[in-house]
Amino acid sequence: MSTASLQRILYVEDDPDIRTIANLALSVVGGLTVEVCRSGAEALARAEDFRPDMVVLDVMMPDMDGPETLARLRLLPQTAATPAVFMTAKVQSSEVSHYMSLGALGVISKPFDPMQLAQQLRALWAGGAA
Amino acid sequence: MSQGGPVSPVDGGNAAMKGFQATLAALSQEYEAGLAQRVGLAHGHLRACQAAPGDALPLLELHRGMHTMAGTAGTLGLAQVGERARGIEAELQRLLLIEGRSVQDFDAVALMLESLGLPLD
Repeated sequence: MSTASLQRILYVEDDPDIRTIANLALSVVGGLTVEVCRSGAEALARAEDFRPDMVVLDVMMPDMDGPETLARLRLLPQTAATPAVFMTAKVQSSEVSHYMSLGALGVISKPFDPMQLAQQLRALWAGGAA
Repeated sequence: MSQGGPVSPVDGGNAAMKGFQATLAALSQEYEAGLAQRVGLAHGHLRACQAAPGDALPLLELHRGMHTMAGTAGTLGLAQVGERARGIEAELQRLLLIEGRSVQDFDAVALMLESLGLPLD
């Protein structure tokens, strides 16, 4: 991972309300550049042009869930090694261990605090770079 | 795509933050106003579960709806709704593991869904 600051987030979430909140939280509060995708397929279509510093994925999505989306992003040259974070309500230790085994940098639990979201991602980014 | 610098008073950050908080409040109110409709949809899924207790599809649909509601309502500040939905999600998770489910297995979910539609404290 680069030691540069976190700037560009590819964010994938199927729920429209959560998409709106997280997008605002990351862009307005966090000052990040956010590419918002409604599905894993949309993320795959946009990832290479957007060139994210980090991918943030909802876990439970219809058609293509977060883990499958991450697996497919890993097959694209531009996102083969991009740090990824899952956002989910399923945060029992066994579940978190599973997500980490898939190559995630971290897991953020839902519900989340919109005021803290960007800070949480920056902390994970900093931890991953250390 | 959204772009912007970090929130700062010198670049209009206060106005942006007020706008963000107003949007959050509006979304929360909108979500609460639409709660009865969401609960009605969940009841529809429950009826499908009760009509075919062994069919996992309506059960999975109801489970996904409660999972989403738990995360969304909580994030919007509707903690009580989020907690009620989380309880229903847990019960549905338990039912998913039962082989040979009967219609009576859904009685607790029916009661919990009724409470989901009750006024908030």
